[in-house]
Amino acid sequence: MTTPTFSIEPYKGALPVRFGMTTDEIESLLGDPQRRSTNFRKELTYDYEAFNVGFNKSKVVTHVGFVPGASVEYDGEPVLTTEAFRRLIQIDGEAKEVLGFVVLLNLGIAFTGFHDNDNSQRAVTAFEQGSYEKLSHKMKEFVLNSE
Amino acid sequence: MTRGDHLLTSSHGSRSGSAVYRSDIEDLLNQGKVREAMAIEIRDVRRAALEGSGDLRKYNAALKEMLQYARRTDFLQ
Repeated sequence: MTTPTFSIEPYKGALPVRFGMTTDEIESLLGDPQRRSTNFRKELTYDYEAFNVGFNKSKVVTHVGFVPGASVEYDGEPVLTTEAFRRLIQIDGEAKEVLGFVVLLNLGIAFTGFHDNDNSQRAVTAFEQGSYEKLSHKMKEFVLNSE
Repeated sequence: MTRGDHLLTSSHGSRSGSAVYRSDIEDLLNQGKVREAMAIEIRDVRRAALEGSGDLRKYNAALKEMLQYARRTDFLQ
């Protein structure tokens, strides 16, 4: 099965993966994952080459995570680049930083490893509404440096 | 740690719930519950090793070294 180029649509998903899809729908769309893993909350994740699909306890999609090597776009432009990181911060207009994440709540996208040049942590995620609510008290405004 | 195993850790930025996981660890550390935080992290590394490489004990030597260092430096009392 060919891996698609994903297109992040704020709070809808990383199309063709949509939030709310079931495990069966994901398997039908993307094939069997390379691995089925869990997180600390025992929630299921399907791991594919350079991306993963996270499910909640009801086993519907709430998250799509990408690492370098994945093909993922926002508005027709690749997002796993430093240039895209800077561009999307400008588009969002209200970037926040929390616990090593740069969170764009208007776009439903989070970055890690770009603002601190930590290559091992480089990732982009599309998340469903409310995913960062619990952390709002820890968030600080994120300002791009001028470099 | 291999890249494949690292991607499976609960704190990795690509993973669902990773920000909440980091927050929980931070809260424990701020409360002085270092032992509890380290225990959670050790369990998570072992889970990632099992799911990623099929070997729960893959990082035992490194974890042992970390614990020895923590005790030696009074980080873990």
